[in-house]
Amino acid sequence: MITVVIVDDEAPARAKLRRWLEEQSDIDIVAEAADGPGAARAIATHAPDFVLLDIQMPGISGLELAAQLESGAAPVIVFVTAFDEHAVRAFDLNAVDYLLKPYDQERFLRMLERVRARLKNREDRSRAVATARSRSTASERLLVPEGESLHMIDSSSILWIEADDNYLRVHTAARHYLLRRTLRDLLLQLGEQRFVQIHKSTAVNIAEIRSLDPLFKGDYEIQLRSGERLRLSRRYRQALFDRTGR
Amino acid sequence: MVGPESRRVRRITQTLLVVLGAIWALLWTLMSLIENPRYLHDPGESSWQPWVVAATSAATAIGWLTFWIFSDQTGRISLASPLNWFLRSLKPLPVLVPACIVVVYGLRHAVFALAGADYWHIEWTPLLRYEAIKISLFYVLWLGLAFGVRTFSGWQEQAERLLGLQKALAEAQLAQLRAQLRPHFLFNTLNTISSLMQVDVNRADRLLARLGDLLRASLSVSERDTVPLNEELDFLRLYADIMRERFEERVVLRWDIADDALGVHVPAMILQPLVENAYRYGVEANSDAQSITIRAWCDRGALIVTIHNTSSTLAGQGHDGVGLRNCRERLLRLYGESAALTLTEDAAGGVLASLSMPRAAQ
Repeated sequence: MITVVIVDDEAPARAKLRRWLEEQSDIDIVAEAADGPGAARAIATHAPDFVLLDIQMPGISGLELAAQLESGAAPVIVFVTAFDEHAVRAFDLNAVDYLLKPYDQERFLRMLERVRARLKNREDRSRAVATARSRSTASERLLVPEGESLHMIDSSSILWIEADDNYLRVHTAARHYLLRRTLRDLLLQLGEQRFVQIHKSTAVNIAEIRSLDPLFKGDYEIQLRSGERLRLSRRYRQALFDRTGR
Repeated sequence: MVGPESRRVRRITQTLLVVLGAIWALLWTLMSLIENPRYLHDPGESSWQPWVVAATSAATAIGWLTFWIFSDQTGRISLASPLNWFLRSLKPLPVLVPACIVVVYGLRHAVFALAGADYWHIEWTPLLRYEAIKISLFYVLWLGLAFGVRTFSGWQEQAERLLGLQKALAEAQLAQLRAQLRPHFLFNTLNTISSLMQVDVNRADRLLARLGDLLRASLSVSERDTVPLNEELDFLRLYADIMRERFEERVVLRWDIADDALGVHVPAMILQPLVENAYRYGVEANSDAQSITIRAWCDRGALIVTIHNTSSTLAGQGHDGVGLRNCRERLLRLYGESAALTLTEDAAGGVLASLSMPRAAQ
């Protein structure tokens, strides 16, 4: 069975997708969502094979949401939209389909055929996320869980990030957030401008570095403006020095 | 901006300069040839002498023109008043004439002296008169040419600018048209109809009719049309009906219209962009239920209409979105300073659009 999540803020639009999906014997609708945070939760909970994602939604746009997904484990994404052609056109080249409203059943079934074909090839999924990242402000904002809800924080408010088993701990001045992501993929999303990796399991916001003090064997101790002391391992030393112009 | 037009102009100007350069070279060759026979009949002159005489004149003229082109003291030519440019350009003439004579005759005497020859010319008084007239004529001729070359490129630039202006205007009109058609709204509504018709043909049919009415109304309205407020409100209800199908429980609409306001004339479709913004930033941007309140009443000589929506800020929305800008411009044209459209945030986290216009205006 192919599992799917339907995301659209308009009930009639969801109903249309649901009706046609239910006619397919190999497809199982595991959840529906009416906004960006709801969609993120549904995708995290059900890990569906593919997502039908509206672009214009309250809270977070579909494009922004796609950019926040862990690229390695992302579902196949199909954008459903009324008038964001210019935004979704880029995806055509990247092996992700989109539906333009209103669409007919023939177009819908053709989309399903492509999804079935793509599910056999996992590489396409990370490409979709990568394209969404290049098309949205994904590097500026990060979707984080807070209690039961999800919301966006500015990436400039992040001080440092540490990897801890399967989780990431994202530290801001006020608190920290737990994210089920890999450090490598999160850094890819946030881009090289602001963050630099200083250890196998640590990355810092470059603007937050106050001082660097040499330790032994080429390691350094980084002190952040917030007072935090982190270790810069010599493997990542050169990359940091290159970036900070030392 | 370097467009293909200005590249074309530059190419034409360059060609023109090459042609003028060729004419210039030809002129001085001819001058030298004219000088030659005069000396051939004059015994005691060597054949190099006429060439020196012509060459000194040419060198001085070229030197002066080069200085003139590069210093460019006369500045841009205004096509509106070319005479000013001519008068301004004539100013250096009293300095130019004696300077040229000094340089030319200085050069000639120097070269002849170096060659051990004698440079003969007529008496200084008639010579100076002759040279002054010649140089002045020559200079005026040059100004005429320069004027032609310069105004040509200026004229081309102006034509190009005009073309760009027309293009920008057409684009602005197109953008306005596109904004009025509201593609997002249109395609989403079509999709809603496409969904409804699978389960409830009559409802889909009704929605399709509403959409038709709405499109008809928005296409037929013209800039200066005014309609009674109740007609304008009917139009808003059409729009609201369509939005209700799309967003169901997400919006509660309240109408609070005073009876005496119903007959007051308002510019057609003036409220629609405001209600549309209330939906766009209040309802569509929030997943929980919102409310929109439309009020209208008369206050002394003015009609006041307010549209309030919950849960939105002005920060997110374009203050000068096409819709709002159009509204303001229309109000200004129809009522001048006596109409106003303001947007304010309220303490509860909503936005209030408030429109006031004179009641008597029909």
